[in-house]
Amino acid sequence: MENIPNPFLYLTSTTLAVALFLWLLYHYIKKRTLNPALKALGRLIPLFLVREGLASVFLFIRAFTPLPWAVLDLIFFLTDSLAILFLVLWTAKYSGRKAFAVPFILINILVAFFLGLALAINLFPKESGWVPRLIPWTVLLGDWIAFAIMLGAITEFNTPNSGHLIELRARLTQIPIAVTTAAALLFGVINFDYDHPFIKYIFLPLTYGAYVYLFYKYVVIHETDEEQRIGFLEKDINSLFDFMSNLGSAISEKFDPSQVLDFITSSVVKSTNADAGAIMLVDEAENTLKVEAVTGVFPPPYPVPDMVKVKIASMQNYFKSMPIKIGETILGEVAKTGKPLFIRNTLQDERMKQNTQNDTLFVSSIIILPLIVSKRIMGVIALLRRDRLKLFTETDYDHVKTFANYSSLTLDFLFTYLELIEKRELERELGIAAEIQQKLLPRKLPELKTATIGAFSIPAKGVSGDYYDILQFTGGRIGLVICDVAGKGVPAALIMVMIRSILHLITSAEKDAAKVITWINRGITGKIDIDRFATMSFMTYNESTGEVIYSNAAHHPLLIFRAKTATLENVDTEGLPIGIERTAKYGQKRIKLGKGDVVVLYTDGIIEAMNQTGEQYTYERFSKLIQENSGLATDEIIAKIKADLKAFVGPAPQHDDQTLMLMKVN
Amino acid sequence: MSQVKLLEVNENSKLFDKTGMFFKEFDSDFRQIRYYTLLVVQKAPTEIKEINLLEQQISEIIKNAVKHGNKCDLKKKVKVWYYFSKDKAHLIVEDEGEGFKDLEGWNEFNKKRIECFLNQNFEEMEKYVSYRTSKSDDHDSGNAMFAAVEYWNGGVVFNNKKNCIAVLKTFPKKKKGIDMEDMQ
Repeated sequence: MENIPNPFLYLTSTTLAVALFLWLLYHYIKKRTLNPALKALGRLIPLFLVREGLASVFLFIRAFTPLPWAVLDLIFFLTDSLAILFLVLWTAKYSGRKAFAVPFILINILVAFFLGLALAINLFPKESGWVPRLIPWTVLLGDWIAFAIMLGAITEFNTPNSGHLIELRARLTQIPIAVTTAAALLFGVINFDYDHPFIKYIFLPLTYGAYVYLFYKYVVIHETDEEQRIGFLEKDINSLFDFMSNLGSAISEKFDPSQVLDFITSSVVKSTNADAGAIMLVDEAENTLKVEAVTGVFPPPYPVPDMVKVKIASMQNYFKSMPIKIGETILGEVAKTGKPLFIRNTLQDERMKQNTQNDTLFVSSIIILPLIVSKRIMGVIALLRRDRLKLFTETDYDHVKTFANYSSLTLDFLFTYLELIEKRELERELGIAAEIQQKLLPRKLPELKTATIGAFSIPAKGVSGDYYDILQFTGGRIGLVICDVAGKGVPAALIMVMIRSILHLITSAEKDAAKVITWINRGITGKIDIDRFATMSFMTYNESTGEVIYSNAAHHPLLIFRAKTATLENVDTEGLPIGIERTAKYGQKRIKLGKGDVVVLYTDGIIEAMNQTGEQYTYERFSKLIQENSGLATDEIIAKIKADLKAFVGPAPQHDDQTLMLMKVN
Repeated sequence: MSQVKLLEVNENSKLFDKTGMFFKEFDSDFRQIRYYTLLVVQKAPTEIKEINLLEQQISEIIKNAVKHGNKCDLKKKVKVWYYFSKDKAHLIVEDEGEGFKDLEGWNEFNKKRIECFLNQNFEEMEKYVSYRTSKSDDHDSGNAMFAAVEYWNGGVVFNNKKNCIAVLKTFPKKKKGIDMEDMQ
């Protein structure tokens, strides 16, 4: 063959084509998988391209000038040594067993250096016989065998994610060993040359076999990964949909948090094939985790008294009834840090020591996840298996994570909703009370000949404890009543209804103010189970005589501005608040009003109105304002009072109902 | 319960700061205690009323002032300062009596009571169920203040004359879960 020098034949040699093919394959895989190990393998490609390029150049030159074959030996030997070195580095990265790799690489570099030197000075010419020519191939073979032994030492237990490597290792070493042995035979014993057609077209391309296989496997692994991922996603989404729709109906059927928690726990246990599961919620006040729902036999993953271990039932009771301090035990730890915990094999974790004996506490695998909603840890969900042969997988772990996410959102929603319902009920009650009350207040103030009346009532929170009314009697007389019921809501509104009914019933017959109050007190005290009290002022005004009859049940005294002397008077009578004592006695006073006089009835909320700095409006400011504005018309005085109150209080919240009735004699 | 809570005497306690508090003055009328309480407690937001726990506790303190302080003497007044918000209840009650003379005795009594409890010594504890003095009558349960020192978690403080008591309760913010940022 040596006498037909065809340089183009060498340049298009099959090996270069195979190297190029490998290069393309590598880039195809690189685009699709993120496997970091592949990156280490990628270094092999340029090496092969350089090797084939150099070989082609050598063969091309050799067509014109005779060069010793040993140069090609040198190229192949050095690149093969480098390739093994890369492979060793790659597997070392994979397995984390660097201790083996270091001496191997060091020895290899040394041997390669001396052998390379020997080849370069053509120490083993073709003519020198087959023994010296065998040396480089034997060294390479030794390298491959050492590499094969290193790979063989890798197990699932000493190497994380070793699955792919274990699957690949046989072919990865068998092919190079076979090829190198063949090379030793062909070049060393049979004494073939590199330009022999068998070597050129069949044997040399074959040396790439292992790498083609390796890369092909990567494609397969990627495809199956993808398939599994899609499969998992589908399963996950399906079970999550099931879970969501079931949870939805569970919530709408019964709005009971404990039932919903039970449901969540049992669903997650079922869909992950766990043996038991539990949900614990944070008790903010106690700073503990409380066990809220348990499915299956759930041994506490922390040391417990020996007595508890004896029976499953007592162990379960212990777990359910003992709150866990936040930060203590692995459950409390997850609640504190918000970081999920997955202990695949309890034998390999010191914290699970107490659960590894063959007793009631036995746990083989455990997953603990925090339930987090908008950066708040609501509690934790924990799942466990009690079978040594069935440990949780990463897939299970991912699966539980999706469930935990959805569960925490659901729980948050549930609690918010319950709070809302509670609030609604309260509001509804207040709404009813406010409605009753609105109906009690006089719709239209009567128009009198000799006096004008004005009034307002501003409830503090929608519903008032204040009540005022104006009654018209025959013979030009009217009655004014103001009342401050202690408490709020429906009971307070009921008292108002009672007071109003009694008032309307008796005032037609009974004209005496003190007697009116006495009747009301007698009617209310001891009639209802709950204690209810009210202060109350009642006055009648006779239009023709200008006479006021006033009686007071511990309300604020009647405030009178005398126009004649421009002074203020307070009129009070003796008496207990309504509702204290059935036999309470009430006094009354008769007062004659003159032209321009103003009488005012008001409740606490006015003089106790508070501004933002905590100061109160006070009786002094209130009475002074009336004194100063007494010359104005009734409506104007009331507008002044309202405006002054508003200016004083500012943006501070209203603490109490403010009610006022004012009558000015024309 | 691990720490024994005591009645304090400290006239300069910040619990006696009456700024921004509502004020009412009552006659020492025993019949009206429920009414006074209602008047005071109606200013409290619903969230902190806890059914009627707050009402009960306030009622006990007013009752002590009316009954044990002013001896139900209608000429003597009970002054009440009070302030409520969603996270606290603050109350100061002053009577015109001679003051809680045996405060130290009460503290000692309560300490022994809690010790018995902690040591699970229930036989001995029977002696410390009810605190009584020569002036106690059948209507006095003798244990209202035990509950009070537990309930008023912000402190129970007397002035030097021991006729004025200031109490404070704080309510934890009601929010589900624990904040992740708090934990760092």
